[in-house]
Amino acid sequence: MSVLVVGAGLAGAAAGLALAEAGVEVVQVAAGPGATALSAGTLDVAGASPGIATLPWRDALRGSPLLPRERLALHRRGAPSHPYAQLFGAGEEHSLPEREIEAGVARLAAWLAPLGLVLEGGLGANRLLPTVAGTLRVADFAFAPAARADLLEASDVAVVDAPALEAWDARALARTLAHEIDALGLTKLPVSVVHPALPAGLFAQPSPARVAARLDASEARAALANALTGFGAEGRVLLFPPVLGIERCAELVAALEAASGSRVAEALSFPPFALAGFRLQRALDAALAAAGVRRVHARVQRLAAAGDALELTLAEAGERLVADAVVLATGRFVGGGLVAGSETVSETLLGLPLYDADGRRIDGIPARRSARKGYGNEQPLFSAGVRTDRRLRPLAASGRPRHARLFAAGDLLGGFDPARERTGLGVAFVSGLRAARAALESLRAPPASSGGMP
Amino acid sequence: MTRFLRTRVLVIGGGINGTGIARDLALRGVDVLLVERRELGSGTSSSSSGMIHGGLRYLQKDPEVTHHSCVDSGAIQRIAPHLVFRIPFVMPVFPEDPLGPELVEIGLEMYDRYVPFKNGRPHTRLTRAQALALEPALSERIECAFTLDEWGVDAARLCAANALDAADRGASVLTHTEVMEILRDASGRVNGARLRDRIRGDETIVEAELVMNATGPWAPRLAELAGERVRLRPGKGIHLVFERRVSHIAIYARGVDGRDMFTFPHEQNSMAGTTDDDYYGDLDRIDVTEDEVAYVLQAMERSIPGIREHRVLHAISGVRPTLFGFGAYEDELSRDYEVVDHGAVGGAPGLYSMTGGKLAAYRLMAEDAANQLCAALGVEAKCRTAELPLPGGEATADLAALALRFRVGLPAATRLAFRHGTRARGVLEAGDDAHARGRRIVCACEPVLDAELRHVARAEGLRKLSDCTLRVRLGVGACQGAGCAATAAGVLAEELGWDAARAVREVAEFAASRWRAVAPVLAGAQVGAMELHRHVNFGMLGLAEEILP
Repeated sequence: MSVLVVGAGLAGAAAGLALAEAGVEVVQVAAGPGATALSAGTLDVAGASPGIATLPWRDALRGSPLLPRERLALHRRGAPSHPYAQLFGAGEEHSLPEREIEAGVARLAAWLAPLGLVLEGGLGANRLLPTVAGTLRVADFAFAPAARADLLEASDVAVVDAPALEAWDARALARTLAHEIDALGLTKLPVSVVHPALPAGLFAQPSPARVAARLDASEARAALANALTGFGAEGRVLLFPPVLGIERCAELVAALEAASGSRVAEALSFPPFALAGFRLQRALDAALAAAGVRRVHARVQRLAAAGDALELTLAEAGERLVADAVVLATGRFVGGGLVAGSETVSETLLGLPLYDADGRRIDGIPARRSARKGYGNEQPLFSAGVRTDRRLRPLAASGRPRHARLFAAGDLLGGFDPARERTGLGVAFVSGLRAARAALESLRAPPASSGGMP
Repeated sequence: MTRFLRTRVLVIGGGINGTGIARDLALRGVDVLLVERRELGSGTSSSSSGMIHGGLRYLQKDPEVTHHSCVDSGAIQRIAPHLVFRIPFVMPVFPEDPLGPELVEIGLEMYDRYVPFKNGRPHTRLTRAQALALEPALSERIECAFTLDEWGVDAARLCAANALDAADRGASVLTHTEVMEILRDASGRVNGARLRDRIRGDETIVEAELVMNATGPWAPRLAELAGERVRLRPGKGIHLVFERRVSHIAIYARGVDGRDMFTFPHEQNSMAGTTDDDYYGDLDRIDVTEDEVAYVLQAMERSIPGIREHRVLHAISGVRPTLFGFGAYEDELSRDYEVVDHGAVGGAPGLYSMTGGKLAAYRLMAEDAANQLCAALGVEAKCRTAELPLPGGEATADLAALALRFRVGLPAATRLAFRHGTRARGVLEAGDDAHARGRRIVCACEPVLDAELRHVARAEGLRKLSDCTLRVRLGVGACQGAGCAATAAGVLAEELGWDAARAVREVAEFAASRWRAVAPVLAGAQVGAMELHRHVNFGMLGLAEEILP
C-alpha cells in the first residue's frame, strides 16, 4: 500500500508521518518548502477568537476569558463549511473532538521532540504571547521558545535590546506591550528594556537569520549565556528577538535559562524575519526522513487515475509516480495549491471547484472581482478552497468526490479564513491527521469504483 | 480650545500648486500659511504620471502649453536636480497606424524645437531592427520607431520640497488640517478661515489678507464655502504600477479609442497609463474600476505584447482639475490654467482660485498666481523660484562617499539622496548615534532607513504612518508594508510621541490603505503576497479590532 502526499507544509507532513507510522509506504512530492516555513511559532488550533467581528478578542479576554476549547466549539457551530464543522460536526459533544486534538498534538510533539522542537500548551488554558511589535496574541499551542513568553505565567517582562538588529525595536515593543497589558487589565506585570552586554560582533549585524545561524555555535552560546548573568529574576520572561539559533535552539535556550535564572523566550515574528516557521519546517522534514518517507523535489504536472490507483506526473523529468491514494496538501496562494492568473483563479492540479466561506464559487473569475472593499471585511478570495465530503475527499463540480482515494488537507480546504480566525496551522494539522486516517480506511476497504477521474 | 493666527496669504491645498505658490510668496518675503487637508501632494499631484514633459500630444491644439511646460520642466531640473530622472521614450509606428512614419516625424520635428528648453535630445528615427534591439519588450509587428526624451520627477517629494523651502523662509505649513469655513468681514471681503486639525480635532481661526484656493479638483467645493462658483471638467486618470521594470525605456501605446498612452520606468517601478474620463464621483474615494484596468492593459498590449505577464502591484488614481469646456471629449480639453480673482468675477473679493494646469508647468503657474497676489498686496519683490534651488538641490551628493562614511548600502544611499539631495548627509549624521540605529533598513523594497523616517518626522512635519508611502515610499513594494509598517510605526511613535494605541492604529490604517490600492488590480503572484499581508496583520500582529470595519 502506498500513498503520495503532495505538499511540504504541516498538513502534508502530519498526513505523511501518520501514514508512515501505520506502515504505509509514503512518498512526499513538493517543489519547495510549505507556507508553514513562514509561520510565526504558534500552532493555533482553536484560533484567537472565532467570529472576531462580533467578539473582539480583547473583550473576550477581559472578565471571563473564553478558553481554547470553548472557541473551538464556537468554530464548529459557526459556518457549516468550516473544516472543523465538517470534521467534527456541530453537535454538543465536545469531549471527542477535544480528545482527538489533544491526542494528535501529543503525537506531533513526540515526532518533533527528538529534533529539539518543543510544543507546549493545551485546549484548557490560554497563552498570551507578545509579538515583535509589542501587540499580544492569544494562543493555545505554541512552539518553544515563543511559547515560553506566556505572560499569564510571568511576573515581569524584560525586553532585550539589540540595537543593530533589523525589525527589532526593544523600546517600541516595550511601550506597546505595556499598553496592551494595561488595556487587558492584567494584574501588575511590569515591562522593562534591559541592555545586557551582548557579545561583540554577534549582534552587530542587522540580519536576524545570520545572528541565529551564529548562535548555533557552542562558543557563541556560552558567550551569550555569560552576558545574561545578573539579568534574571524569579518569574521573569527575558524576551529576545526571534534569533535564538536554528538547529541548536533548544540547547541555547536551556543554556540561557540556566545562566540567567529566567524564562528565555522569543517574540512572535513574521516573514521575512520569522525563524520559528523555518525551524518547524526543518524539523518536519527531518521527522519525515526519519520515518522513512521518501521526498521528491519536483512540481507536479498532472494527477490522473490509473485503474484503481492514482498517477502523478512530475513536471521537469516527466517521471511518473503511482500510488493507491493521494493526499493533496498544496496550500493556498502562498503554498501554491491555488493560483491566480490575470483573469482567473484556479486549483493548480485538477482545476477543482473553489468555494468561499459562504459557499460561492470563486474559481473562473478574476481575483480582483472577488476582492471586496475594506481590508477588514470578509474576503471571499481568502476563505476559498476546495470543498470535501466528511472523509476529506475533494468534490468535483457535480458534488461527488473527484476520486475515491483522493484526499485534501490544510489550507487547500475552503470555508475558513486562517488569517482572520488564526486557525491556519491548527486546521492544517488536524485535517492532515484526518486525511491520513481516511486514506488508511480507504486502503483497507475493498477498491471501490473511482469517481470519474480523467 | 481655539487658536488664533494671522498671516498675509492663506494658501489652501498642499499639492503642487499650493506648495509652489507658498514657496514663491515666501521667497518674496510674504507671510504665508499653507494648509492641506491630508498629506502634501496626496491628491492629484502624486497620482499623476510624475512626468514633467512638454506634452507632445498638446502640441497640435495647445502649443502654448507645450512651450511653457518645456521651459518650466527645464527650470525644475535646475532647482531640483536630485528629484528628477531622465525618461527616454520609444514611439513605435505600426503598419496600420493612420499617420505613417513621415507624418509622425513631422510632428516630432516640431516638438524638437521645444525640447532644448527641457534639456532633451532631439528625436531619432529607428529601423524596426534597431528599435527591437534597443527595447526587446516592443512588439515585433512594428514598422519602425522614433525616440524622444522626457523627464520624470517624484511629484510627492517635489511638493514636500516646495513646502519645506517655504517653511525654511518663514511660512507655516499645516497638514491634515481642513478648512471648515471661509470668513468674511462686514463688507463681504474674504478675510480668513476657520480650520480644523483632523488628527487632534482642535480648531484655528486664521486671519488673512488674501485667500488662495489651490485645491485642484476640490476647488469648486472650497469656493462654495465662500458662495463662489468655480467650473471644472474633472477628469479621472489611473495608472497601473508594476513591481519592477517592464521595459528599459518608456514606450508609447495607443488606446482602443486612439488616445496616446505609455508604459514608463518610474523610480523603482514601471507605470502604465493613463485614462481620462469625466468624473462626477466622490473626490475623497476615487476607486479604480475594472473597465479602466482592462482599457490600460489592452492599450499596452499592442506595443508590449508581454505586458500581462508582468506583476501589477497596485493602481493609483486621481482627478485632474481640468478647465471647463463644453462639447469636447476629455482628451481634447485644454491643459492650460487660469487664476480666478473672485473679487473681479464674483462676489468674494480677497479670494482667488487656481484651476487647470500641468505638473510640468507648476512653477510658472505659481509665479503667475503669486504675481497677482503680490499686485493685490502691493508687494513688489520679484519671483525667484526659477533661480534658487529647492532644499537638497544645491549640489550633487557624492553617493559612494556617503555610503562608505555611514556604512549603508549604495542602493540605500542612492535612494536617500534622490529624495533629499544634499540633505542626505545630515539625515545620516543625525541617525549615526552610539548604536547606529539609524542605519537599520526599515523597508527593504525601497530601501528606507530608520534615519530617514526619523528625519521626516523631526524636520519635515510628517504626521501619519500612511503618509510615508508618499514621503519616503515606504511599503510600496511587493509586500505592501507587511514587513515594515510595524517597525516604522515604532520609530515614528518614538519621534512623534505617539502612545501605543495610536501606533497600533497607524499600522492598521496603513494596511487598509494598501488594500485599497491593491484590490482593484489584484492578480497573479500579488494574491499570495496579500495572503501573507493578512496573516501578518490579523494573525501575527493581532490587529483585528483596529482593522475590522
